[in-house]
Amino acid sequence: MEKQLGVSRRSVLKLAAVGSTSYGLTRAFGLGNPRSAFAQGSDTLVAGFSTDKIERLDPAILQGLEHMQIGNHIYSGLTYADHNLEPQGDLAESWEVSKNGREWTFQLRKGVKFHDGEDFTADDVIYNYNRIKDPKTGSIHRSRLDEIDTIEKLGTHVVRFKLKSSSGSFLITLTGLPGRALIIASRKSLEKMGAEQYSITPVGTGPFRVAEHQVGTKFVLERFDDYYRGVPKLKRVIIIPVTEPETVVAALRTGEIQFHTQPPTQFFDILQRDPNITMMEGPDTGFRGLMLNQNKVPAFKDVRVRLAIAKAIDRDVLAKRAFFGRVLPGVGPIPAAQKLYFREFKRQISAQKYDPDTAVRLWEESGVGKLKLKTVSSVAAADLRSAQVLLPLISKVLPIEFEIEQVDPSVNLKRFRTGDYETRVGGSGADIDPNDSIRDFFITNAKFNSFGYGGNTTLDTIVEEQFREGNQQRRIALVHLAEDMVMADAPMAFTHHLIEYLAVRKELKNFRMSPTPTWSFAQASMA
Amino acid sequence: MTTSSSPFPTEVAPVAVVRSTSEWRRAVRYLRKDMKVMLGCLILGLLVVTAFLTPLLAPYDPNAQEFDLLMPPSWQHLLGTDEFGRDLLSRLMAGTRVSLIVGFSAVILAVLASVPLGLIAGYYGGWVDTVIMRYIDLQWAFPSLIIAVGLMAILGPGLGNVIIAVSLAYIDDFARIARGEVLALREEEYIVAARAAGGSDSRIILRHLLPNSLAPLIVQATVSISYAILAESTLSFLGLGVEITTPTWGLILSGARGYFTMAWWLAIFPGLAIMVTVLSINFLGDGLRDALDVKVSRVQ
Amino acid sequence: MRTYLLKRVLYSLLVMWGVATLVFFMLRAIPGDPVSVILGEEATPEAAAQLRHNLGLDGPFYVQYVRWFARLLRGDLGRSILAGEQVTVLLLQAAPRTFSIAALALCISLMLAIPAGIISAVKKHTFPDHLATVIAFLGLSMPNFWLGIVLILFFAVHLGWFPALGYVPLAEGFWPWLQHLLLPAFTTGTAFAAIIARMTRSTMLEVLNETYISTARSKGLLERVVVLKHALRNALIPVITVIGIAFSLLLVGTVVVEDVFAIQGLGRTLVRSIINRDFPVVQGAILLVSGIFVGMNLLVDILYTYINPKIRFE
Repeated sequence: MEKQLGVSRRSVLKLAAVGSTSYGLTRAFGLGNPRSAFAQGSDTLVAGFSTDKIERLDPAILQGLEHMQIGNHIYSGLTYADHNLEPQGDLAESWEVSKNGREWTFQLRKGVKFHDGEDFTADDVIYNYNRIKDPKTGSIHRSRLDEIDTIEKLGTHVVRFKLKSSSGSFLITLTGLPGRALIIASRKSLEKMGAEQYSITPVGTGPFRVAEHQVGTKFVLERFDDYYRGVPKLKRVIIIPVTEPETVVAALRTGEIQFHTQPPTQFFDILQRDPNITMMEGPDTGFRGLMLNQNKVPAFKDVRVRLAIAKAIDRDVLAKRAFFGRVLPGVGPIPAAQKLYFREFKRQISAQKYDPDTAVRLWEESGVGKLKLKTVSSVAAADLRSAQVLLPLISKVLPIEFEIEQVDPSVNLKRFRTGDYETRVGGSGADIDPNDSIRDFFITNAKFNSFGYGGNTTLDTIVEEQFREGNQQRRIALVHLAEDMVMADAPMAFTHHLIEYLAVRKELKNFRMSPTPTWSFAQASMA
Repeated sequence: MTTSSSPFPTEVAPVAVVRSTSEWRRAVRYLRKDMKVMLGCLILGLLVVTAFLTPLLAPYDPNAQEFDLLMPPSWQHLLGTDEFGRDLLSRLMAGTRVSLIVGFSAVILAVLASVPLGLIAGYYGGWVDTVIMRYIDLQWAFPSLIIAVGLMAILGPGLGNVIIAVSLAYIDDFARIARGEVLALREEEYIVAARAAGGSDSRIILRHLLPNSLAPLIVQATVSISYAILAESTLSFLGLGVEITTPTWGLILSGARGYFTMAWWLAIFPGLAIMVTVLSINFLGDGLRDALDVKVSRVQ
Repeated sequence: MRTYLLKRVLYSLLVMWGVATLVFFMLRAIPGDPVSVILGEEATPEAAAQLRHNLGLDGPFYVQYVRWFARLLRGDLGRSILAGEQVTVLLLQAAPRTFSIAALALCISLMLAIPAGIISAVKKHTFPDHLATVIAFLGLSMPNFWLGIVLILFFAVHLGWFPALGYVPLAEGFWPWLQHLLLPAFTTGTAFAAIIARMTRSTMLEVLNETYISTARSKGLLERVVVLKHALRNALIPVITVIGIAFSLLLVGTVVVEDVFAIQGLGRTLVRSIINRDFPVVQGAILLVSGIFVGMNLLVDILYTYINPKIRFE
């Protein structure tokens, strides 16, 4: 029986025909190497952001570092924070403060236009103020405006705020980012599009306007030719989500993206060695640590227990093993970016300094014995990694058995707010003022104080004083005092400050690093 | 990867031909001669031994974060170290236990849950049958992985939850097979005779129908174990499986994401472990299928 | 036949509705709050309550359900809670990616599996058969995400032949589209190819032993003609039914593959939305996916009754 399956001439010809057809098709559609999916002109920047997708950009609910960074290109406030985090005039040209520090009169810039063509006037300030204050808007920034008693329009470009008390940080509150409470949104567009559509394609007065937003795929900014502080040299900025560490590295090295907001720390050396890539480093604007919830764990009510935990952490080892050395070991809440208030020598003097012997002694003194603790962590890679290295380090010194509870984002934040955790890996970000770092967390009934710390009236008083203190020098002294008290009282064990790195390819010129969320592409250009 | 235990719908009864002890014995003899099966048994045996004796056999503590991060395989660390400085070989060995536990538990759970349903549906027929089979159809009409993801979202991460989710979402063919067997056997003489003699329903089901349906169920169970192991590794890889501190092979792979290009051993070895385990079970299952001469008719 | 068809269509719709309703209520019953994801750490209880109200997430479940269902009948799937973008837009962006992967996976696996199965059957118990069997087993035994990772490491990182991740729409060029999809498609299709190869082999073996084949042989027809014309046609019938469902199966396989290759397809969108409790997106995606599944089943049923006259008149 014939068993061979030969290939006949006819079938070969058939195959060849198929092959050439597909070749022809390929030519027709254009073949090439895997190139960037996005058009590159010499004035277009492709920037990778470390988020799955850009979500709601409505100023009323704008939050999250990546979103705030984008907001910084679209919106303006009455003031902005410069690279030293000092407030400068933005939509407000100048201002006067009354002697008692409670009346602030702002002269607004004339000739400013919104992206939709409308003119910016004092009415817009009033409109946005009312919108944020209105409970029906449901804004998360509402409480930031609590210090304002009244607002009045004194002219088409003059507004006056009357505050309930003097303030050391009112100008910071008025920054577009990260202040956010008084971002000037376009009334016309909001009413025309509705808040939901506005969230996707927002309209502001910033250097760039939104040209296109394909949620999850790309977010395209276009230069705004009527920008009052200097029209950007870049014509377009295409923002694409790139989250996988290896993709980030690959895309940066091939030039598919020329910028990335969070280059992965494990690839730091590889990226740095690449001659086309510069790793820009900047002081961080937050703190991170282990929150100790006194409401759920009675043992935490004893300051010796809390302090023991803080002292049991070898922060250098943590930095090296959890973050490849790319974080700043931290012992207190004030971040390095707050240059006026940050003390380099803090690590030496802090009560939370690594000291395992004292930690053990304090623990034994408190008589708390063995503890089993649950630690809530979000599923974010950084948090999980932090927890997985940190907790065994503590267990090496103290008799604590930790169990990590990883929770989805939809559950994590809720549990944080309601104080439903024993311990928690967490912290703060985008803190450009000591109020963000200390007042929001560590006074009795502070905004984020869900860990039951309070009753330290001395601390509360000092923090309130620095809040109102107009004199810079005096305020610094008060802040230092407050921070010392917070460190010694250990409401949480501080572990580190994140160092901000931005990966910038050589094609992107004139880009200046500035603490998030204050950096911007407004001055940059492509080679 | 297929999502349900068998890649094609099995509406009509499988033909089971193992009905007596001598036939079972014949099957076992057949199995012994099949090289694939022997190889599978050998590997599986090794894995079980590893699972039980990990504390003795593992070179280091699987959880000790003591060594340098991301070290390539060397004489001190045969498979290298992971992204936290733990010995990979020790972790893989610890993972054996969990993977095998998940595989077997999920299948046992599924069998306990769905075989009775299938038997009842086939035996009683009528609306009972319709209701049960409609539900089975409904579940079959839906991607198992999505069901599992949804279940894990409800239950939260954890080993027990994974077992539940995997058994509910992935292993839906037992009911169908059991029912098919019953339908085929229902009209057989000895069954009719038993009913005529006044035997109670449960007696008939348990003593006559069930034992004679065993063959295809055993084959299905074996194959399901491998699917369960793959399912757990997939769920853990997605971050929706066991807790982060339980070493399973899928989780080990998941944790090492973002480090693969600098540590290929973290990518290769855990996956290899999964593959070898599943392969050996598949060999076993395939051999069983041949030995028990179970044919699944493809007529719909 | 026609009543059978009608019954099946109605039944399919019922199944889809059942699944959608079940998912609707389950989503709201489980812990987890999409509003807190939107508002982040700075969420205040008042802002959260207000946003929940603005999004229609407060109030009794059945009220929400009626509202959603009414909109559904008008063809409106609502807007994503997290992004604010319309669900239909999001799904329309995601679906082509998943379909591309699945379609390409189907092509690749068939091109590899059917010839492999035929060769295996014809050259039974020889080396090619054993090799094909081993490869098939390996294909079935390895986790597909692992295969994807290995392929990326070797072909993309080491050899540089393909991009490691991402997706390029067809509109931007056929070749880039293909290059981005080859590895994901291969990964998705492997297990399926293994099954098809095995199935083809066994059905071919069965058919080759049938009497009409020996009749054809005794008539003196060339072996090749016997195999290709007579045996294959009959052997492929069951395979075709599997292919029908294959698309649905592959669709699910892409869930993990999309994760590994960072492609924002249906699978990835669905999983992320479940994690973030983005109800409207989950509901919309579930409807779409179950619709495809159910639709494919229906198609296969119809196709099969068509091909196999034996059961046409049931």
